[in-house]
Amino acid sequence: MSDDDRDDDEVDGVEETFAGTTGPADWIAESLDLHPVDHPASKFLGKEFLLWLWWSSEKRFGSIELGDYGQVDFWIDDRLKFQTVGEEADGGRATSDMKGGAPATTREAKFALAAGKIVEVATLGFRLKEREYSLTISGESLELAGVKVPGEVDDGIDELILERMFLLEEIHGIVAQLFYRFADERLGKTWNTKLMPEIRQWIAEGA
Amino acid sequence: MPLLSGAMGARRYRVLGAKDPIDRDELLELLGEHAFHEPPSAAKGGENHGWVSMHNLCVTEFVHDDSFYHQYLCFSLRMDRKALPARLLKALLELRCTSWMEETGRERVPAAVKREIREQLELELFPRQLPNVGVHDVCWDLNRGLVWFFNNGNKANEIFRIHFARTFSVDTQPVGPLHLLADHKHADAWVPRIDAIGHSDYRATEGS
Repeated sequence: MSDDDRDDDEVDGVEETFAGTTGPADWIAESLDLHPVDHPASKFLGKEFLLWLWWSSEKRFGSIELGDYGQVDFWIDDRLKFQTVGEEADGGRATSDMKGGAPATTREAKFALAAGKIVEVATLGFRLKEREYSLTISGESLELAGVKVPGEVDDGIDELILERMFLLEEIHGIVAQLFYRFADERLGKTWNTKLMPEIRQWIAEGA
Repeated sequence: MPLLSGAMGARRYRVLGAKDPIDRDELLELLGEHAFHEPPSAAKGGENHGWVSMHNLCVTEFVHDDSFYHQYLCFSLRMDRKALPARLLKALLELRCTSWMEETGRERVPAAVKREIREQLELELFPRQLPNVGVHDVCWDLNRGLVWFFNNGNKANEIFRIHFARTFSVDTQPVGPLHLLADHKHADAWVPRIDAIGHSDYRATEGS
């Protein structure tokens, strides 16, 4: 199936269970085994995803229809961490960590991108219906930290655990669905001809 | 960043090689066998870790009601580290060595004697030192074959994975970006392309 044959609903489809997974997962297992950073793409794919989220939040108004989740709003919150990459990083990787306020709206942030830095870590906000989340995503591993969830249960340990796990899984699911959207574009045919130039122009305009 | 309160931070792992079906009683027994135990001697430093109840870090008995919540098995990894303050140890060691030289009339302390003095100091100080205690929650989704370890640190995660593997005779595999792609129904198309792409250069080029 070519990229053009797919529709958005298909992109959202994912096998929910990990138990007994076979097929492409075996390739991943062989390639990555216990250390997911072994594959070259794992070094940059998640980081490019963070940039894509940032770009989408500004150029696509940070609102997206995500299959079963429905409408999801997202935005870059109060932290962006950049890092140099490639040959320029020889002798040590330079980082700049912008915290507080709205770093995504600053020229310094766009300057960092224009200078070839990549987004290493970003704090984002998400809104799904009346539920609002805040969390920090690490680009390399896509692991979540500082996840603030909109819990309502005050007492009852069973209810508390179930609610917090439900919310944690929900936000993981949302991030995964967004990542699939990114992957569909990043690995699609129009990335180099259409989307990359758009992102470059967005960076250049803001710097 | 614990499961029960405040902001959460966790790494997710697939659990590979678990028995099917899972025997919940056996899981509790295994937790008990690999539970946290106080070190045999309080006069020694070092690291010590093991499973404890999620509800009390001093409880090492695991019962259904406090461990299973629907499909989740919840417990915690306790990691104790006992060390002496290096600067204090160095200062006390210097004083003892000075005393030894005064008593013996010698101008320097032989290495073997210095080692003995140091060991004696540690024997005196370690029993007075409480360990640094870390507790990190674990939530194993038995239905989906996923385990969540509520800590983002590399060292803690390494210890968790090793202890989890030894306890349950399973492997854990981090769920990273490529694993996510591999689970998608488009994986057959995506995975070969991942091999072919490189990092995009987002810097403006001439004419762009």
